Amino acid sequence: MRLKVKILGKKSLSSGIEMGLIILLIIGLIIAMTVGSLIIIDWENWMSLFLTKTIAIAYLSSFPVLIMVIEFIKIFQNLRKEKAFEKQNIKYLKISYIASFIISGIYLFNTILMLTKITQIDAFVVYPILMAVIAIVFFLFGIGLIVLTEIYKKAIQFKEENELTI
Amino acid sequence: MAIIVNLDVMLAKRKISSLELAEKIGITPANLSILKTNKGKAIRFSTLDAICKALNCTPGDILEYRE
Repeated sequence: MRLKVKILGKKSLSSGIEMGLIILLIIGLIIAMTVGSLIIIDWENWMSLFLTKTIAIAYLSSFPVLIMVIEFIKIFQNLRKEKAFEKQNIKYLKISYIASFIISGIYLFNTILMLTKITQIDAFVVYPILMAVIAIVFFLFGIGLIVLTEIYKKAIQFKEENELTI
Repeated sequence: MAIIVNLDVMLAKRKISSLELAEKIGITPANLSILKTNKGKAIRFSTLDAICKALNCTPGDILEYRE
């Protein structure tokens, strides 16, 4: 038995994912604004403790994450409109992979910072490793998006050649 | 690209409009315009065959190589 799922167009998986990402964006914006306000209001306390300082640095990654979510919403909007191979999607993917590398850089910086400061063995195991894993995941995600961007470019090139074949 | 499509010249020689030719060979005027303005990337043999039949000419009358 083959499961038939509509990927492109209205009332499809793409439109569902688009809706989900919009909800995620709204929740993300609310959380980012709330946490940001808390950090700004209690700035001195946040910067006094090493752990809270690293959390504040990690908070910076919320901006590229939100940008990435916005770009993915735009991509899925095009998929909903059945415009899979549009040049705009290349631009959205480029912004997404740059954002991914920025996030990876922030977490890598946090990892290095933690390695130099943490002395307790249990904290050493949990926090830097967690930060390093997140850094590696976003780095690999960025690489994946670069590959996808190149594949998209080729696909659009073939589509244009086909359209201009009379 | 060095391949030039001289469709305008042949249309003028045969005193036929591009709309009439598009109708005769079964392609849209928009696609014919792509050919005429050298924006096309490739032409199918079947299309070239239909154009030559409609204009009573050879492929060499339509296509030219110019460096």
